[in-house]
Amino acid sequence: MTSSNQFFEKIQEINIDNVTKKYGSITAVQEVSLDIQGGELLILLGPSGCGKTTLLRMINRLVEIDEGTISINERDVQDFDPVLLRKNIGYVIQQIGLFPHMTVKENIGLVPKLEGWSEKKITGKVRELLELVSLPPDEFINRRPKQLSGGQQQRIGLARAMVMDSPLLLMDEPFGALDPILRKQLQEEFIGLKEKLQRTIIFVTHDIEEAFRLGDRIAILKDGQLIQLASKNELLVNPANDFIADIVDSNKKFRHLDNLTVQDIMLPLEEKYIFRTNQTVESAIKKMRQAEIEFGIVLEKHQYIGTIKLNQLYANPDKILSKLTSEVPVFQPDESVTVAMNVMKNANDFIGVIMENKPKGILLADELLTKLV
Amino acid sequence: MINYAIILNAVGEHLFLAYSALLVSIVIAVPLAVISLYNRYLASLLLVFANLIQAIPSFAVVAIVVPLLGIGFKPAIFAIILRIILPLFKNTFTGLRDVDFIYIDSARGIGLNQWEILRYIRFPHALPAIFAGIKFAAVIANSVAILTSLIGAGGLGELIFEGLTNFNIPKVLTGAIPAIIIAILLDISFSLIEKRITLKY
Amino acid sequence: MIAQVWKTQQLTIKTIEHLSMVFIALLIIIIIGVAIGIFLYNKKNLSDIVLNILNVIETIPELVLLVILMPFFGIGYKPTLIASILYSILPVARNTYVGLTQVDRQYLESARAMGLAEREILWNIRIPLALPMIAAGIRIAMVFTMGVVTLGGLIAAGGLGGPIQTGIHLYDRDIILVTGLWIGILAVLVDSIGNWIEKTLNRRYGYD
Repeated sequence: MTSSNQFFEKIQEINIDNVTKKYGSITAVQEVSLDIQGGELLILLGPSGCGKTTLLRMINRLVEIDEGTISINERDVQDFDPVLLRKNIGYVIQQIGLFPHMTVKENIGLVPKLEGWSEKKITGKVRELLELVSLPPDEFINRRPKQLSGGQQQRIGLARAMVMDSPLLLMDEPFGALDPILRKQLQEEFIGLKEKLQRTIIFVTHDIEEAFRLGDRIAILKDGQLIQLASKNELLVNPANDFIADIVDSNKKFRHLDNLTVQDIMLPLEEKYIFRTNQTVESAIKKMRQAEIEFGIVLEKHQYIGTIKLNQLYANPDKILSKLTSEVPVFQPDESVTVAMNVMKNANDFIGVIMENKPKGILLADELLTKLV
Repeated sequence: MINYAIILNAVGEHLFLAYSALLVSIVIAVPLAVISLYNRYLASLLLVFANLIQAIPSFAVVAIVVPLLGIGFKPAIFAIILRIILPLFKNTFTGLRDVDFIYIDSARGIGLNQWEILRYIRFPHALPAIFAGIKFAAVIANSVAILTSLIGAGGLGELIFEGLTNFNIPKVLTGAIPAIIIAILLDISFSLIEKRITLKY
Repeated sequence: MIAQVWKTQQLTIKTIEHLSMVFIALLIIIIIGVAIGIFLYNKKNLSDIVLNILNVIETIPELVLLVILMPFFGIGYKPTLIASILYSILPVARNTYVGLTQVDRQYLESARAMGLAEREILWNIRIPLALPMIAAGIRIAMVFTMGVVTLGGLIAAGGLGGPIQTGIHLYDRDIILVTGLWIGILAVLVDSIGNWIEKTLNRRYGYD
């Protein structure tokens, strides 16, 4: 098989010019034009059926364009061989799609293998990527997908998309199928990664919170058309129409903000997140895996001791839980949201615990609200 | 000289043999399948047997019937039944059993009793599977019927065997060609019926 | 009784003849059947035609199939081998085809998006994931082939069909029972090997 050269060292610009895609009488994407700057994380946001996924998939030609052009660094994507083009673009989907008959290493290393890399080089790269996505290499390199939880699988999916060091990453609702707290954890990790990676990323989601948390700029689509493309602040302050204003809820949130208490927006504490101080790390890992979560609250009787994350458990298999906990902000149920958001912002934490004699719920930082306070 | 009378007679014997066996098998297998729905022990026993016996060559089955029942028409029907009853049972049973639980649950919810559920929910849904089982059994019955002439049951097989012993190829063909035609007609008619049934559901 | 029948009917040689015919037939069936399945996997119209033809062959009574080949191939092991192959190719080819085409879409999409060419997807993704289905088809072919080879005894192909026929002609209860039950045991053994292969491949390559 011909080896692919790196088509683009670094993305300068991606131009989507008047692109249309029809399926029979249904127009999935209608005359959409937008420009993506090299190095940015652009969000494609909208309700289901708005064409965001179709648009994404026209960039790596999984879907062929009917009208219009897409160019990367001023070269039309139609000029490239689609297979080689895709080797230069990373792609992550919601269902993850890790090949069930291959180990983690074989999954990540499939394209390198087909490109003729040496075994040594492949192993080195795989280990490097596993470290990058916070999975201890020795532990995970030979596992099979069915031995992994959803969050772990998605991390591997990301690693696999980055194996060829492609300067462009396309992500289609990658965190969509995960537990809400896990989703937040992965988003936080992803933000950290984004800094390290310095790549151009196009990210599709229908979750406004996610869009506001992760994106540099946000492109909002509806019924196949681009409604507005702007930065987060601009969207809040200057929504293009009522539809957008509704999405960002700016009016509503402004109006009720003073009255909102923490209790109104918290997640009730589910059994699966509760751990005891006398539990072993091993049993905790097992419990988290079964529940497909990576976060827990440690209690002693009903006293809140602290929080733990799966990564910490892997790193310290011999300790006991009470030694591994971290502190997070604690709130009373009737605390005002304004105050809570400020505390979280200053502490740079995305998670807080709500206590009333005993733990009642979990507070997840709301990017939108944080912006508004 | 091709004696059409003999051939027609043979065809008649063959069809009678195969299809009476099929009928008897259906009459036994279907109630058995229904009973097995409510009796796990019976079900697993029969399923294990079904899988085991399916592996045994038809020729051996036909032969083994001889020491037990002798030769002639009745042992031949018995051999065919032996061969087809278990696959028929298996297909009917799994068809009835594997009806989507949602339907059973809502039927129970509206207050249907077991018998009504069986009649109005399970059977209609199981029809494609049952039909596939019958088609399968018919093809095998057709095949085994040919073999049974070895044990004196008459039919098209007899023409074939007589031809074989005398190295009389044309005679062999007088038995073989009608058999092929019957097989093809069988396939076509079952496919047509299948289309009509699946259209309904 | 068993020992006597064994000796007079030379069951050892017959068993060896029988199993060798089955083995050789299976080898050819697997190679050709899987090849057909792979060839057809992306050609839907052609596959409909081919699989339909093979399906019709399946409905023809085995003995008739065997006998029809005689004018062309004489008697003995040749028409038996060819009849086994013709009869048993369908399950293998069809299962290969179905296994290759019905791989879960998310895996195919990931593979395409990673920049794998069709051919690379076929060999690295489709075929491994289709192995359990192919194994199931091969198991069915094993049972069919045992059957046809047994029939071969009627046209002097050797194998265990011969003694059975002798038993019927002589109306000898012992011969029929011993040989018949022996074939039964062998058949079940062959099928359980097929079962084992199927289960093993399912464990390694199966997914739900």
